[in-house]
Amino acid sequence: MGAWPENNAPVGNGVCIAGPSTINGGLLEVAAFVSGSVATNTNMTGGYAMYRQFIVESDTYISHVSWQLGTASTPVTFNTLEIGIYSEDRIRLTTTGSFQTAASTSQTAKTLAFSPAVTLRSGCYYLAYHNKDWSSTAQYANPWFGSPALTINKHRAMGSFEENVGNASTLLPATATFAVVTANTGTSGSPAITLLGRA
Amino acid sequence: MDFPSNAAPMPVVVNSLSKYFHSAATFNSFNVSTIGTGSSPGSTTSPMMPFTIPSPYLVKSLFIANGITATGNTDIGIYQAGATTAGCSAVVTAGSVAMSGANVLQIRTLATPVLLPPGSYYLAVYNSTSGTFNGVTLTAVQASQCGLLETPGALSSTVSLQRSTGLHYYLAGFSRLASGY
Repeated sequence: MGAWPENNAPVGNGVCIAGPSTINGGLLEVAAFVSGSVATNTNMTGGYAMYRQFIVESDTYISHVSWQLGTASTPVTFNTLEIGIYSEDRIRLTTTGSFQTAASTSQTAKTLAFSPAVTLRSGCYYLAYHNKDWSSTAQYANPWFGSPALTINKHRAMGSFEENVGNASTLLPATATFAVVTANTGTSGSPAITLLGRA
Repeated sequence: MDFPSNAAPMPVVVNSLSKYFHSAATFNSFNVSTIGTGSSPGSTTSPMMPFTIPSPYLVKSLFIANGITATGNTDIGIYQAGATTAGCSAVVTAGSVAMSGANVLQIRTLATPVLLPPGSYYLAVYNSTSGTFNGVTLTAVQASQCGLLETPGALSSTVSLQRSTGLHYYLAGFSRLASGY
């Protein structure tokens, strides 16, 4: 007998496929929670990461992540961020690593590579986004553009969690420790972050 | 090697504004006002929000977003959608307890998890007095288009269904985590 037949659709590549900006990542909820377009600066307490659930319906190749930077504030130099993907059982699958964005790129689209690129099987995952330096006045305070602010209840109802990961040099953990959403992340908006299978 | 699975993936937490609830996309096409801090269904009706799941889902807890007024008793349950409006049966109800905490998600951990087969269901919520939940009030047309129904009075093992008169739609849901979230 041959190999078990696979029922998954072919590996996707090159379209906007996963993350908070899609129907499988909470887009419908956010549209019902708050009105308005993706045009609001949003942030979390420095050092905190938010884990946002999303599903992948068929094998999906992920190599990059795209998001929109917020508006630079004064004083402005740069901001340190990290974005990663975790399995449902909270194991880190890939990350951008720690990176800095210059204030000169305020309000622009930003694309960065994951290392390694991954093929996500059909299932539930968490997108982690980590603002590392908000508390520093030398760095600008709006790493993301997103929806207007949500509430703690709404973030919890969307299956999100948070973790105090630490600041600039601390990478997202290999195994996440989920904590319930508090005011440290719970009043942030939903950031415009999309996972991609291309640069 | 693992056996391949035909099951469509489901998120860990499913809420009443996600794609599994028929009304979620409808809300946005209506440009309905955003989910507010609270309205009360009143003690005489329990809104029943329709949803469909594509694959088996093990429900370990249910939740409802309490509004600004936490009073009276509250209940939440899942009902099997039937072919008629004459009545439908409860798959699970959490049981009536005191409403606890304003503007929080009240989690109801099930003593025995319930496996929902793929299919269509209603998520029903109830308050015995004037307690409020986070939600929106729809027009009669919107409620009809969303498939929103209600049952008179409290939740029980079998309920009758009628077109929504209260026109309330609430933020609630279920989770495969016992802790809810």
